[in-house]
Amino acid sequence: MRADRTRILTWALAAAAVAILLRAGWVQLWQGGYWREVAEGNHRKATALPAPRGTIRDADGAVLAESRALVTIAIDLKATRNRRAVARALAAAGVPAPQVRRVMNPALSWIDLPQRFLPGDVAALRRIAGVRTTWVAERVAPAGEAVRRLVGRATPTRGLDGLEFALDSLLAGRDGTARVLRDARGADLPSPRVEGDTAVPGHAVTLTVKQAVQDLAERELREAMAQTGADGGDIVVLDPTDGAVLALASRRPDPRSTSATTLTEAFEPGSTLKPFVAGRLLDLRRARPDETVNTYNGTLRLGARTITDMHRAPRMTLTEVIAQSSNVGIVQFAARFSAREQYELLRDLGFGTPTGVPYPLEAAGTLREPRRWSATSPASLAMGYEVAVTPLQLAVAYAAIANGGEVLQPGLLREVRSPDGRVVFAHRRRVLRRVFSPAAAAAVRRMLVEVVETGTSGRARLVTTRVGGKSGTARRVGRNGRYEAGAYTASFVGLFPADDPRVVVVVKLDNPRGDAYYGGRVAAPVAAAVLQGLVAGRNTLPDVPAVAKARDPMLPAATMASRESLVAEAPVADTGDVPVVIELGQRRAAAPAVPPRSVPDVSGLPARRAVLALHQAGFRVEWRGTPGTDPAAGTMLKAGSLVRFGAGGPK
Amino acid sequence: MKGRTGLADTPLIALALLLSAFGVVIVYSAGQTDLPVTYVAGAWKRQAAWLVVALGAAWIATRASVRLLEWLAWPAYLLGLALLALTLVIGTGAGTAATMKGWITIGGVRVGQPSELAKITTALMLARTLGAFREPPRSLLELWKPALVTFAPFALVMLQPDLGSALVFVGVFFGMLFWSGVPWPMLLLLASPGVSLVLAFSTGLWGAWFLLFLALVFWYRPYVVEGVALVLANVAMGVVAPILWDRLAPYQQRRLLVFLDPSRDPRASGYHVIQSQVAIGSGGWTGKGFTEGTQKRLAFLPAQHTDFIFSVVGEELGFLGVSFALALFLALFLRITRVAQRANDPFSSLVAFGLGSAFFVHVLVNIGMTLNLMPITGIPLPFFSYGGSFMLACWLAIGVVARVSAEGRGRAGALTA
Repeated sequence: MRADRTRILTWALAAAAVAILLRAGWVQLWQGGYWREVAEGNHRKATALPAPRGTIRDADGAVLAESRALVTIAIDLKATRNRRAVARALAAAGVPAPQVRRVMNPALSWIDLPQRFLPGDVAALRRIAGVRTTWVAERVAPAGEAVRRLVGRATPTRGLDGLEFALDSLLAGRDGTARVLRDARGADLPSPRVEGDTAVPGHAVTLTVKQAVQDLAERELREAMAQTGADGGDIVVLDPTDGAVLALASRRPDPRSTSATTLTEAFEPGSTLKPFVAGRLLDLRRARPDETVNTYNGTLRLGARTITDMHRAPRMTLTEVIAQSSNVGIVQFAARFSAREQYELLRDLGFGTPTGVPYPLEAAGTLREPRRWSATSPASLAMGYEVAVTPLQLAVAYAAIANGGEVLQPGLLREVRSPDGRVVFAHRRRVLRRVFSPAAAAAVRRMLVEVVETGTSGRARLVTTRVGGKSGTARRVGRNGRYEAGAYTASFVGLFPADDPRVVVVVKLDNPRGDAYYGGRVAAPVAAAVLQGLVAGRNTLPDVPAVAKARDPMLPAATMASRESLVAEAPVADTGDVPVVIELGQRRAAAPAVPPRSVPDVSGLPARRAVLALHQAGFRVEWRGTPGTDPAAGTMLKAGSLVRFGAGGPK
Repeated sequence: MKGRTGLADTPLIALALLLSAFGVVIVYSAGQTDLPVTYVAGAWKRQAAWLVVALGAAWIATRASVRLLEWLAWPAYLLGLALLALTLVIGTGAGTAATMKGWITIGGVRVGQPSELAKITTALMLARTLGAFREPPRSLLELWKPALVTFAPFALVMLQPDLGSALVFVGVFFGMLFWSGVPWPMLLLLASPGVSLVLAFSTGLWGAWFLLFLALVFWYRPYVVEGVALVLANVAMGVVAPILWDRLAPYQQRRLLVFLDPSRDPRASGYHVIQSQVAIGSGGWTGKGFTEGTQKRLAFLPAQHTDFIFSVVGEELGFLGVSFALALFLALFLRITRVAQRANDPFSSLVAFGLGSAFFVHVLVNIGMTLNLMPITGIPLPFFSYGGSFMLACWLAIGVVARVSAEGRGRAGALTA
């Protein structure tokens, strides 16, 4: 009996062992891969490390938008062994006392702290068991509303509009993954055995826009709209010497609108186009500034159309035609062009083609080819109708008058730096084509001075310096596609100083209410106010020596003869230096007390400028022997923190 | 007769020692976590100390002759019952089983789990009862004595409530009935109410089982009274089961349900099963290396030093480690079976077999639980799971088996000398 049962038993035991082994084999060998994945998934927390978006700075290096990595903290009080220690660490990290006291409340088992912390401030706290941290990226725009409308909005990872959207591929970094070991209670355990991918931050973009100028333009535009009752308006401030856009201000009834409308909304400019006709006629030697035409006391019948002048005179010189904005006069002067010539003038000025600044949905404007013109088109075009331009296009065209006849590539980006500090793009003066000879441009500038001194736009006059400019008043097209009664676009383009212009200001107001709707009456004073502000500001006008240096010699290819080529692109004058315009000795308002900011990247800057930049960023600076900054560039610190700095170092 | 060194059952002792050493080493590893828990980190030292104590106790057990044990069976059994009863009054919970009253605590120090001792005393008592049978029983009624002997501690442990330990008594009972020569059909009939109870949850299964059971009854033809009683018992279990189900503590219900479907509640009850499988499964062939198990280190594996210590073996030493541990256990069981087979008399044989059955149930249920073959019943793995009184009980059992072995080979005199 026993032997019998022993045999059965032996088999049974063996069967049990085999069953368990089979099961173990099934779980460990057959399903092993699956369970390994589950295990990894459990304890390897691959949290996405959000790559900080690139910082956007203005031309002076002031931060317009930046990203920072912060942490939020939650405390699992059940997993903490020593609440008192947690409370102490919290107090050390600057958490307000009422929240610290909650830690000691035995009724609570979980606390979410509402604050966001700098990673450095809570390093000690994060090592305590039960303290959970979550990385959050934050996009902050320390600059005000005016700049926000230009820069646009962004989530920490994605640009939504404005430059944030236009430059998204540059600004967006590559997210990294932080692989940390996580235990069952959810606490992170940094482990040397686990590596992750570090986040690659986005490119740092420095705009040509100066925050001070942008603020000024926005302020003046706002005031002008309030005074004139205009629906909207645009102001473009451009450096005619190198095409750098200094400000793009814009307002529309829609509060969500951005500065983009200076680039995306074309309008019929009206009389502001008249000086170009004069310039080209001078170049072609078909007119002289003092040449007179019969202006028929301000009324000219042209087929079915009657053209009238505000300023009625029997005869006017070309200069007077511009100064008094005589429609009758300019139509007759423009008649000296062939249709092709008139078209090429406007085309060469850049109308009908996007300027190519990096901004979403930039408009080309409207410029029809001669074969689609009607009989009255040449007259209309001479007066600035039947053509639509964006304020920026207009500014670029006037810059050609200002700088001696060259159409420049306008730029919004001064410089783009890759995360490792390399300059991957730098704005250079880039001549697209020559549209006027220097002499013709100078002659037109003199006419523009007359406009302000004796003509329609006396309100643009400044006491100290001569201003050149031209006003425009154009009827607006209503919803039905016809010109609307009593609806006008008032505009003014100013060159300052008139003798050697360093700034072009385009002011455009939509639908000014009341009797005063002429560009010379409503837009010119706005330009004057902007110019006044530019003169008064210490950091608002472009650097004079830099301007002189950037002037390149005449480009042989960009002569008048090359006009036949549709896109006469001149070889780029490579002067080899990166025009970073940071004026020394500038005194800016102290950086607003936004708590944390990043240490600026000052590698490659001369020591004095680097120290200035650090000061401007709101840090105390201490000199040290070794090159570079400590903490390194990009570290988030509180305002007023000490940054040690030494000259030299990489780049 | 050779010298004293040759007298002990070397393979038995060696296997038990090997398992204990393996166990202490794994308890050490279980304490190596990334966020160290002081109590668990130092467990291996206490376990090693307990092992020394347990070896001493085992040595003392080998001094006691089987006759003495037989004489002691009654008082020991009663003592065991008394302690179990006492536990119900003054018992405390501990660790993962905080809601149970399984421990006797004196002055704040947990002295031990009486159920561990009761397993041994019950085995002794059952051996005594079954050993008294001249011939294998022919009627179920003849088994009232061993049934009663088992039922008393079973009931007391169930009241704690500790389903896992209680099932060990049932396992020992059936193991010893089997070894005492009770015919197969009778074992099956005896077990039938239990089977009915389990299968009652599925009407179809229970119906099929009931037909089989009826067939067995008509074929085997037990006494009419018994047959009717058994049929009634089976029907009752099938009907009573749902009522009993409602009586189970919610955690017990959950454990059983989770056994049937671990994904039912992955965060709570299913957590243990899943994490255990994750740990073992991710071990693969050779494991992650001693002390390197990530699931254990990062505290995903629950009760890694007690109930789920085998998962540590699986995770860190892989399939090979699992095979090695299983081989050791299998060898131990075979050795104990051999001792039981060669024992001088029914009592000795049954004692050895009963203790072996207890080991077997522990190992099967514990390892089966870690591999999701068995429901979670929270019974420890002999020689591995951290716990002083359990280690002591295991080695006491080994000591008794060694004594039986020595007497079976006619060397008892040498041992007692």
